[in-house]
Amino acid sequence: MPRTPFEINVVRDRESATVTLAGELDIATVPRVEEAIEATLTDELQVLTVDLSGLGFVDSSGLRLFIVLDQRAAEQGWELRLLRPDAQVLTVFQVSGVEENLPFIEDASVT
Amino acid sequence: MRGETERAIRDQRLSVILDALAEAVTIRAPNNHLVYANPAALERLGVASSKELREADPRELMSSWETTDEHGHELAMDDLPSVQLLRGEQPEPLLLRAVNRESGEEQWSLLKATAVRDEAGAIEAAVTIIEDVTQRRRATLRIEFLARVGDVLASSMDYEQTLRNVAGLAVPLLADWCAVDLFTEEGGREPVAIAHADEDKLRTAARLRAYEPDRLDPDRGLGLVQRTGEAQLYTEIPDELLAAAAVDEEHLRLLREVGMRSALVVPLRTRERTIGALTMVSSDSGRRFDRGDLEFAEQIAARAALAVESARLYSERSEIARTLQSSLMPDAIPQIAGWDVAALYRPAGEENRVGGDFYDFWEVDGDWLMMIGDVTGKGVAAAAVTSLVRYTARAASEYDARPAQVLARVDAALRRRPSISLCTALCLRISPGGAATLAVGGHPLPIRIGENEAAEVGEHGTLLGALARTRWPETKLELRPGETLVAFTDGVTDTVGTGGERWGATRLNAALAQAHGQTAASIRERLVAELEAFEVGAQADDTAVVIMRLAGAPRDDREALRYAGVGAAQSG
Repeated sequence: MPRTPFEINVVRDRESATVTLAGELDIATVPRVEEAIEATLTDELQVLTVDLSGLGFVDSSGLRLFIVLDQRAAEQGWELRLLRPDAQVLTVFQVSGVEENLPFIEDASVT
Repeated sequence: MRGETERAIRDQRLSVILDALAEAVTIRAPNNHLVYANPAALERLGVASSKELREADPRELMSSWETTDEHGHELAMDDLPSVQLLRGEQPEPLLLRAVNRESGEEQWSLLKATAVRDEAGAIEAAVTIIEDVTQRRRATLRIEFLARVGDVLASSMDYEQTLRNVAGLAVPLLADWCAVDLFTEEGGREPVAIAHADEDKLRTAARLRAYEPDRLDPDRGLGLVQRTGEAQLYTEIPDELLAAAAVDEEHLRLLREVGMRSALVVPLRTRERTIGALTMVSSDSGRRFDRGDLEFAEQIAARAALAVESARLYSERSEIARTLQSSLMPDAIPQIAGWDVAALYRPAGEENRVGGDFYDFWEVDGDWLMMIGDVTGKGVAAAAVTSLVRYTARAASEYDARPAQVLARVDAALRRRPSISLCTALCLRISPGGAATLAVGGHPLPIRIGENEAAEVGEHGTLLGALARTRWPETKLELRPGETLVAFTDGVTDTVGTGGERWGATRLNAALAQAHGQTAASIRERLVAELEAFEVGAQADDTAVVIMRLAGAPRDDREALRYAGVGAAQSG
C-alpha cells in the first residue's frame, strides 16, 4: 500500500536541536518521532524546536506527543518550541484547544 | 423583659424554619452541649427527641459512632468544626465518616459550622449544617476504585497475581477482608488471594482454612454461589449463624475472633460458567453491606473474571484489552423515547492496536445523555482510562447533567491520574421532544442531517485530560422530526484508502447528505458499506459512530404508505 513517506530530519548542536517533520503524523508514525526526539534529549539540551510546517496530517496520537513533550520540558527544565504547521493541520491544534496551551512560535530564527 | 420576649419569638421562628429543612442542623452551646437538632439531625444522630439531646453528654452521644476523616484517621469531639469554633478557631468544613457501632450503618457527612454571636460579638452558639454526602462519597470512591482495578488488570499477565492485587485494593477501602477463590472441576476450591488490613488476622484466616471441608457445601456460602451462580448478601451475621457453622469449639472460637459482622459473596462468571467467587467481609470497621455494595462487588468480580478468562484462554495482553473493551461498550442500544438510535463500533484491525473508542447512553431526569469519545493510547491501559471516563461521566451527571459540566468533571478526573491520560469526548443531552444540548472536548463535531443538507453543528472545546486553559461551550439545538444527529470518532474520517488517501469530512458529509428521513440502522449500513468500499488494508485506529434520529417524521408516514402500496402519488 503506497503511503506518503514520512520524513524526520534532525539537526543538532550541543545545546539545541531542531527536528523537522514531513508527511502524516498518526498512530503509525508517532513512535518513530518519539524515538528520534528521545535521542536528542541529552543533559546538555537547552532548546528543542520541532518544525511542523511540513506536516500534511495530524491525528490525536500526534497531539498527545506534543502535550507529553511540553510536560517533560517543564519537568526537566528545557525549552520546547513548536513551529506552526500549515493552516489545515493547524486547525486540528486549534479546535482541540491544544494550540493555545502549547509553545508555538512564529519562526525558527526567533531565539 | 421585652428583649427576652423578642428573642423567644425569634427562636420560635427560627425553629419553624429549621424544622422544615431537609438538611440536618444542630446548635451547640459554649459548654459543648447540643441544645438543638432539627428533625433531620435527630434522625441522623439516632436521638429520639430534643429533650433527650439536651440532656445527653455530648461525648457519649458521639461515642455511639466510630468517626474518622476521609483518610481513616480517628476523629474526637474536639475535631468537630462546631467545637473548634467555640474554642475560638476558624474551622474548615469537615468530611466525616461515621459508622454506627450498633447497627454498622455507614454515613459520610460534610460538616460546616457558623458562629452565632451576641451584640457584644461573643459566641453564643455554633450552628452546624450537616450535609449527607454518603451516596456521593461512595460513588466517587467506587469510580476511583474501578479505575485502579483497571490499572491492576493491566499490570500483570499472571492472573493469580492480578487477583491478589484486586483483593489487596479492596482492603480496607471496601471491606476488612477480601478473598478470591477459584472453583475446581471436582467441586472444591482453590484459594487464590486473601487480604486483610491487619496482618495478625491473616494468621487466623490461615488457621481457619484447616477447617474448610474439601468439598463445598452446595447450600451455603461459596458452595451456594458455585451451584447457583447468584451473589449472596449476608447483611448481618448473628452469632447463632457462626455457632451453626462451627464444627467444634476451636472452630467457633476462630470464627468469633475474625469478628464477621457482614459479608457478601459474588461469583466470578464467564460466559459459560462460574469460575470462582470474590468474598468480602466486614468485621472491625463495623460496616454493614447493602445492595449497593453487592452490586459494586459484582462489577469488580466481572472485571476480575474477564482477566482470568482471557489469561487462561489466550495468555495475551491484546486479548485482555479487546475483551475488556468489549465489556466497556453498552450491551445494546437502549430504547430512547422519541428517538431511533443505532451505533457502530469497529476495533482497529491489528493485534495490540486496540484503542480506546467508546460510546455510552444513560438516563437523567427523563432525558438521555450520550457520550462518545476516544481515549488516546493503546491496549489495557487505554481500556482502564476508558472505564474511568465512562464512570466519571455517569457519576458527574448525577450532580450536574449539563454536558459542559460532565466534560469538565471528566477532565478533572483525568488530570488526577499519575500519567498523562488524554481523551476526546462529545457529550449530548437529548429530550424526547427533540431538544438537545451539546458540548465537545477536542472531538470532531457531530453532523446534523436536515431535509436538504448534512452539516456540522456545535462548537469546539478543549481536549480532556492535560491542558491548563480550558473551555467547553454548549450549543442548544432543536431537532425536527426526521432530523438526525451523527456523532463519530476520528477513526471514521481518518480511514485510509488507496494511495494513503483519507476518507475525510467531505466524503462523510456526502454520504449523509441524502439520508434525511432514513432510519438510524439504514444510515449505519450505508456508512459501513462506504467505509468498506474505501478502506485499504488494516486500519490503525478504531471507529465508532452513533446515529440518533428524532422519530415521528412526516416522511416516515409517506414511506409507510408507499410500502402499503397507496402512497406513490405523494412522493412529490
